[in-house]
Amino acid sequence: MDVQRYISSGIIESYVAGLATDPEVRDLHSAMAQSPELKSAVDAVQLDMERYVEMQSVPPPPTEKDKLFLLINNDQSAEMVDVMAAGPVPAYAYEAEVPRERKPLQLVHPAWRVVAAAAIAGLIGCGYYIFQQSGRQNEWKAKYEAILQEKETMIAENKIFQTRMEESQTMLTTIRSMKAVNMYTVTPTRPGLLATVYWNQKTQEVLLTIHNLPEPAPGQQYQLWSIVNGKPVDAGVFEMGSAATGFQKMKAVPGAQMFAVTLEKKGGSPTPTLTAMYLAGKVAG
Amino acid sequence: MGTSNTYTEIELVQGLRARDQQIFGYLYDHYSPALYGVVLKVLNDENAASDVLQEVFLKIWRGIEKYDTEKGRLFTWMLNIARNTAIDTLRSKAHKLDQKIHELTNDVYLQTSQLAVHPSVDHLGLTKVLEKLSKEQRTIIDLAYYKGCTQEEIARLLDIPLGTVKTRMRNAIIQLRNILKQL
Repeated sequence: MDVQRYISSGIIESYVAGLATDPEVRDLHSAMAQSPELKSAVDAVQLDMERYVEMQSVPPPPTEKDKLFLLINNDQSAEMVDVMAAGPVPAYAYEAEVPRERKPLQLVHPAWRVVAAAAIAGLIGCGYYIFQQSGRQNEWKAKYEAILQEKETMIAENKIFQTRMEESQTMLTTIRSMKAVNMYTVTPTRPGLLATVYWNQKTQEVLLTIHNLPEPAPGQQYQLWSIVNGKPVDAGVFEMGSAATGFQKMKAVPGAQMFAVTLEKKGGSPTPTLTAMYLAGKVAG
Repeated sequence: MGTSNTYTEIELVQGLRARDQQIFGYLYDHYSPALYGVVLKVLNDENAASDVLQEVFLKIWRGIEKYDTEKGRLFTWMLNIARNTAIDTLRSKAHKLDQKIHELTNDVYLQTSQLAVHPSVDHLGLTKVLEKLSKEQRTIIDLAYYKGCTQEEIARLLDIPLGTVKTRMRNAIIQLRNILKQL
C-alpha cells in the first residue's frame, strides 16, 4: 500500500474535518486496518483537530447536569419496566444477570426480625397503655364531674343554711326585743304550757310558736286572737307545721292585753267560738 | 482536565457499562464543555444546544455498548456523537446554506468578551490559532466540521472549483497543526 499517496491526497484531513464521503471513509478505514503507519498518521491529525475543537469549549448551563441525571434515572426505571414486561426470566439467567439486585436482601440480618418483632410488640404495648390511660382518664373525668356536682350542691345547701341562719339570727334579735306571752290551757283537761306569742309592741309584729297542741281535725284550723279591751281581734289562722317547728308570723297586733287560741272551721271565723277556746295568756304588765 | 481524581478511558468505559452514575457524573463534568462547545457552534442557539447536549449524553449513556475501544478514543467517539447529533438538528431546521457561513462569521461565542466569561476555555491557544489561520482556512475547516457542509457546498460557498476543496482543506489543517505545535 502506498501510504504516502493517502497522506498527500488530503483524504486524511478531509476525514478528520468530516468532509470525506462515505465511500472515502470506508476506503480509509480498511487502509488503516492494514497499515499501522497510516493509522498513526490519521490519529495524529485527529488529535490536532480535537485539540482545536476542545479549545472552543463552552461550559453548559449549570442546570443541565441535574436535568440529565433526572433523565438517566427515568431511563433506568424504564429499563426496569422493560425487564418486567419481558416476563419471567429463567432462574439461572436471573442468578447470573442480577446478582447486584439480590445482594442487598442478604444484608438484612435475621436479628433484625427480632428487632422488628420487638418494635411491633412495643408499639402494641404502647397502644394498649394509651388505651388504658384514656379509660382511666374517662373514669377520672366522671369522678371529677361528680365531685364538681357535689360541690355545687353543697354550695347551694350552704346558701340555704346561711339564709336560715340569718333568718334565725334576725328572729332571735327580733324575739329578744319582743314581749313573750305564754299561753296556757284554759280547760282543766289540757293542762300545761302549750304555746307562746312574741309580740313587738312597737312594730306590732306577732310571732307564734307552739309547744304542745293536738293536730286539729280535718276541716278545722286553730285561730289566734288578740284581746283588746275585752274584745277579741283576729290575728290569723295557723297551720301546725311551721308554728310547731319554729315561728309562724301572724297578723299585726297594735295593742292587746291578752292572746287566745280557738279551734275554728278552716279559714277561721270573724268571732271566736268561746266554747272551743284552747289557750289563753295575759300580756305581762 | 487535571483533577486529583482521574480515570483512565478504560475505567470510564467500564464504569459506564456498569451503569455507574458517579463515573457518568465525572464524564459529564470533564467532557460537557467540549461537547457543548461543539453543539453550540453548530447550532449557534443556546436553548437548542442545551437540548442537544442532553440528547448527546443520553446517547453516550445508552450507547456505551456500541463503543469499540479498538476503533478510537472515547473522546473521539463522544465528539462524533455530539457533532452528528447537532448537525442532524441543524439540517432538520432546514438552514439555508449561506446562513451557515453567516453564522460562522457572526459567531458570538468566539468574541473575546464572551471567552473571558468561560475560564475553562483555552483563550490563549485559540486566540493564537485564530490569529495565524487565514480567514479562508478557518472558514473551510469550520464549514466542514461545524456545519457539516459537503465538498460541493463548500465549493459553492467559497466560490472555488470543486477539485481544489480537498487541497485547500489539507493546507488549512497542516497550517493548524503547525500552529498547535508551536503552542
